[in-house]
Order: sequence, then C-alpha cells, then structure tokens
Amino acid sequence: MRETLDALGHPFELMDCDPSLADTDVFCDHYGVDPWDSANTILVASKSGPEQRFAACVLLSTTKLDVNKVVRKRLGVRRISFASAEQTEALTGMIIGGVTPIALPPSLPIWVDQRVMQREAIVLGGGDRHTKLKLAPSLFSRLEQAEIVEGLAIER
Amino acid sequence: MSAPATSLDTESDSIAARLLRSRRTIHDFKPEPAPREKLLAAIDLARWAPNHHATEPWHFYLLGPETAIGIAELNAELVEAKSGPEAAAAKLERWSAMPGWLVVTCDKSDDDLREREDYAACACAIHNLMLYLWDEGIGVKWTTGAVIRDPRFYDLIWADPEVEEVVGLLWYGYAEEVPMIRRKEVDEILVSLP
Repeated sequence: MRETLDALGHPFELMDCDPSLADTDVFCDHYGVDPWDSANTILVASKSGPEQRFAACVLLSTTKLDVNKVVRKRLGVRRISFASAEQTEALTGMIIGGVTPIALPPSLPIWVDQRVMQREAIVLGGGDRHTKLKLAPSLFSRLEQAEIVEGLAIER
Repeated sequence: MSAPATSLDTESDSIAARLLRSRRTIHDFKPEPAPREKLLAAIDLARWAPNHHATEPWHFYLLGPETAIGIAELNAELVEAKSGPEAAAAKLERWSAMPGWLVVTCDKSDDDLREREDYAACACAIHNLMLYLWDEGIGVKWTTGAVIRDPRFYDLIWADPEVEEVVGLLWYGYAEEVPMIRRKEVDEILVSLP
C-alpha cells in the first residue's frame, strides 16, 4: 500500500488504530472522525452466473450500497453477497474491517461512489485493523482500476 | 378438546418425535448470539427438504447488524404509519434486541404450480433448519409480517424482487422462555376413508 502511494506521489497520513475499535462507527466515535469523512470498502461477490465476479465498492460510512439498482447491474448478475471473510482474505490478503482500496489486485474493479470524491479528505481502511489511512480522494482518479460511479450508494 | 403439545410426550418417543413435539416458536431471546457455525450447519440441513423436481428454490440471507437495524427501522416506519409513534418505538426496541437474523427467499417462477411447490419446499427447508437448531438449543421465530413484502425490504437484503420472493424473516438465538401451546387432538383433524 505504502509503495503504491509513494509511486503515485499522493500525500497520505497513517493513523494508528486499536484493532478492537476498527469498525467504522466505533472508530469514528472513539477517534473523533466525522463519519462523512470516513469511507468503507465493501467487497461484493456474485452468487449467480457461470463465473464468480468481485468488485470493491468505496462509499462514505454515512451511506449504503444501492445494490438492487446499481451494483447488480454493473456486476451483470442477479444475486450478490457480501464477500466472506475467507474470500476477502484470499482475494486481497486483508481481513474484513481493515480492507483498503489501495494496492488491490489489478483485476479487481474498484467502484467509488461520487460522494466520496466531494470530500476534502477521507479516512479509509489501512490494510489491517491496526491502521487507518487518511488522504485526498482525488487519488481514485489516478488509480487505473478505479471508476467513479454516481449513485453507487444512497444515504442511510 | 385440545391438549398441551407435550401431552403425548413419552419416554418411548424417538429423538425425532421429541424434537417435533418440543419445538416452539420463541418470542424472547437472550442477548448473546448463537454461533455462526450452527447457522451454517442448519442451512446445510435445510437444503435436504423434500423438493419436487429438485429445483432447490431456496436462498438464505444471513444478516449482519447493519442490515438488521435497517429492517428494524423500516418495520418501525410501517408500524408508525399504522399504529402511531409509541407502537413504532416499542417495535423498534424489541426488534433491535433480536440476536440473530436470517431471511429465506424462494425463486419465483412463471409456472404457478411450480411456484406453489417451490414455496412449500422452502417452508419444509425452514422447518428442517428450525428443528436442527432446536436440537442444538437454539430457538427460532419465523415472521411473515408486512415488512417482508415491502419493496425496500428487498433493497435492504440485496435481493431482486423480480426473481425471488421472501418466505420469511427468521430470528434465532437462545430462548429466554419457551412458551406452552396446545394442539388439536388427532381425532379432530383426521378423516379416514374406506
């Protein structure tokens, strides 16, 4: 992750995090981070179709994925699930609660909700439950596999 | 005349008979959640339900806390529209305390008979699941309230209402209390033919 960010020359800040407080709501509450400045990375997996497809979705913690109207169509399948802990680890090398959208396998599409791009800076998972990553979301415009998607998420 | 459900419970009952007689719908649960492994084992057994044409029409959605609270809030919204804010607040509090959430859906079909048979198969699958969990000391409440037919419910569980129908929302966990109920006697429900 650090190598990717250094290679892109994109400024970032690493924040230490108690692993037991890594889940977004608890993290924001404990560390005084505005939930509107915190983004989750949700790995979704197709449950139908000939081959399993995955996508990493980045959305503000104040929003939820619009699976029925957007995600399913983009993935081109009828049924979708939250990727299991085992799938998440196998695909990303990371555990749920610590997934960062930085340095994911190149074959894994990253869909970023438009709202994320409107923030000055966001806090993301840092690759494990000990670390969070703070950076300007303009980074996603520079990641080849990332796509900014309007309406990917809706407010809770 | 009805009798308590356990009135025929005898020492000679098989394990299956004891399970069938003793399982009850659990309305109140202890706060601690049941292990996920038990749920996965129950789903594994659920899929062995009788199923005409082996269509395997069932799908199981194991809900996390974010989805569960979303459903509790949607239900409260429906209750408020019908019965007012106090009833809604009470429902929200009750639903928010449910320790485990599972939704079972059934594939839709253009063939009415197949859809009916598939629904029946899903009901049998749910019963399989409930019996296994009961044997493991875990109770279930199968609810079919209005919330499961609300289009927003499908959005919350990531299910496509054009291809699946919700059969039930199941809460599971360790029983706070096991209710006693009565059933009709066999004579009352049996018709014998020549």
